[in-house]
Amino acid sequence: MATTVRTAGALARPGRRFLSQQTLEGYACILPWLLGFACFVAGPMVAALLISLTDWSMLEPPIWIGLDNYQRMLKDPLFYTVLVNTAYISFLAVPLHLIVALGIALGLNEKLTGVNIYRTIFYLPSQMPIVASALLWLWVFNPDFGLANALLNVLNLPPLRWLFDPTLSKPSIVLITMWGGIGTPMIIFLAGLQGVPESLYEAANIDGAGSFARFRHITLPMLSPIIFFNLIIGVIASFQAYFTLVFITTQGGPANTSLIFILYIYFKAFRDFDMGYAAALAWTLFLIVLALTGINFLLARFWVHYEGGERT
Amino acid sequence: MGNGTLQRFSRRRMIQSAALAVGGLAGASLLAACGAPAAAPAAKPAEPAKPAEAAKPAEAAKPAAPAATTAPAAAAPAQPAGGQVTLKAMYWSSSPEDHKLFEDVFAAFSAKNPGIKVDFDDVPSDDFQTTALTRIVGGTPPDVMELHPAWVLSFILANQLNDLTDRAKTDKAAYLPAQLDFWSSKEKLFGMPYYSGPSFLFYNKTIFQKAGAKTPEEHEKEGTWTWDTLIALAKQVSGGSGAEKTFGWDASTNAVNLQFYTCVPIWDNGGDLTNKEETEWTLDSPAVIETMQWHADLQLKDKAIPLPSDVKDISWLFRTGRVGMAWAGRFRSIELTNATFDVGMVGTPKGKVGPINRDGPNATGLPMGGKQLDAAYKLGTFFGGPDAAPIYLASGRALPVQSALFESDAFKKSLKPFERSEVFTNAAKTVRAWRIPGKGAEALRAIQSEWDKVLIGQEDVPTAMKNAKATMDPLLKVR
Repeated sequence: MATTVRTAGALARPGRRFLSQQTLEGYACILPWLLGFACFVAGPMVAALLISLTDWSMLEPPIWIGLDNYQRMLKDPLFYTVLVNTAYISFLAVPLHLIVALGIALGLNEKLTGVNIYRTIFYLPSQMPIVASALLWLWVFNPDFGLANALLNVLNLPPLRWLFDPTLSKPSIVLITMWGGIGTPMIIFLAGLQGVPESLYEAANIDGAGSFARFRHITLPMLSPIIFFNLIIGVIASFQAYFTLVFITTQGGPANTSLIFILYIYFKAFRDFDMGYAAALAWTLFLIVLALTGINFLLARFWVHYEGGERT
Repeated sequence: MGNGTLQRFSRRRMIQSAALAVGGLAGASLLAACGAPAAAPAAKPAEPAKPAEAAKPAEAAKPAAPAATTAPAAAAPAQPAGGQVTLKAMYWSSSPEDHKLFEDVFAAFSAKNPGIKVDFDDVPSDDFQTTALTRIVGGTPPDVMELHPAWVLSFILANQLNDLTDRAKTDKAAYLPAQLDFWSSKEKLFGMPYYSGPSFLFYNKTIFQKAGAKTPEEHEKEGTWTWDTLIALAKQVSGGSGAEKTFGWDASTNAVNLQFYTCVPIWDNGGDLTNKEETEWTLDSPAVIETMQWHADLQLKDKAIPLPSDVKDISWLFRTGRVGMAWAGRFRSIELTNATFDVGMVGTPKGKVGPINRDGPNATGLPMGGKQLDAAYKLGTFFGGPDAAPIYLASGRALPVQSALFESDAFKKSLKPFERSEVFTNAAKTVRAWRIPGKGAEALRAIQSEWDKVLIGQEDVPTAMKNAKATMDPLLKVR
């Protein structure tokens, strides 16, 4: 008993020992991850920051140029082009993904015969390799003999040039992202929907609430943390994950109308070997994503509801 | 214990933390990708310095230059006096058959040079330049590496290739002069040629027969084989729609493939792409605009040249039988051995001058910091020489880089029924060695963007060329 009291006393005075054995054990457990993080993530991040302050082609030694790359960015017309393109795709794709994924999840949450088969069917595209699906969609959007124009033809509508049309290249890319981009949020929504207590709906039914009212006042608030999670992941992914798709389908064209931030970084780094500028672009993108995530967290307090009824 | 803490953490914190963690790691991994080849920056020199000088730590307080980039400047280690030497060789192959060809050439080299083994590293062509750079910067350069004219200049200007001028003093007489020019700068030689693929045209005899048109070969015999004739024929044999559409002229890639296609009609039209000093693009000159205009007209008005969407993900449209005439190098011959149509072959047309031809050759370079310079040079000369010819030239993929080899049995026996030796010989003789100066990749993206606007009717050709020039001129200045 006395021992227990002494231990409790020691724990209550954190300054007495620099690190308790429990803390040390904790650090030891996460040490492999910490080492990996330091070597393969944090270290290169710092290196990228340093490189962004240099003029470096890889072939020649880097020259320290301070913030010149960041100033150059402000004068680079393509920087604004990629910013607008990326924002367009992101702000169109993310809400669409969330709405469609939620809609499908609501449908698949019903007690239907063979619902697991439907769930699998809707989830499957997200497991398809991006390269394969990009090539598939290239054929679908082929202006001469693609499936999309064949469909328009059936509807007596004029054919479109889809990915090869500057005004349609970005919407076409968003359409393609729908194919593989809704499976994962749909599954997460589905898990969230199944966590909503049935008793809430029963109570609402007794009070005479209709289906829309139940959705508006029970489903949405209860799902709001899940929506928030999907939103954060979706925004981050939209700024980073469409590289392969755009690289294969349009290479940023036509006339740079689908040149997105991440592809521009790639071009600068590995086509032009303009490593300093590419690193500056990468850090800028990181800060943009960080800022957007921060804004989302700030706004979350107005619409995300957690268990217990309070907002964040 | 800690019940409250656990409850607070459970749902809200879990979701927030997961979002933050994924977000943080995703962003960090992006940055990590750009910063992976970590290197400390060199001190900024007081005034523009030579590349080597920039590596000097000008002030003790500032970080030193990265060891990796200075490593190549160090003298190569001495060659082992005897025993086994293994050369690290970095090339790219275009197919499993091509890969085997490299292996066979290296095996023949080792058989002729006992004691020298070749460790062949087949790096995909798309990643080749990046891989080569990474290895050189990382201090583990190959002993020999394949060179390409699209990017060799940047390696030469950055002093990353060994000067072979003295070693090749006697050997170089055997080579076609233009083949050496591709790998030279300021009268110094940095590569030993082994592959040449100057352009000519394949044509689909079946399409010409159906259209009742005189073939390019007939025009050639009559002395009327000019770019004007090509344009007229392209219009004549084009037709159809949808998947059955036939195109008269497939320039293989597109009009802004300056280095490997467009330069030829421009040169033949009496123009040039840059001024002589290569300090300015001359895209707004009448000869260039005229050439690009007929190209645009053929593509947009006459529908005789495929649009990008027509050739997307089709490795070579001519192979499908839907193209009348196609711009090609000999490596394409392999694809036509089982063609379902009759293939013809003709040389580059004449223009106001010419014909002047282009080439997309390859050579063997010896990167700085590589070991075994003597053995590496031996391999470089072996590859393009008579000893490798029974293997390499006999494969029918390339043209000789040495004049005498045009008469070799290996080359003659490699000719396919539709291939014409005289077309190859003339193509090789008329090659002009040209490499895109300055920041080539960026320049090509700039003109591509303007050309896209031409294809969608947003700009006319003169405006596009003027805008492209404005973007591309600054890219000629490299430090």
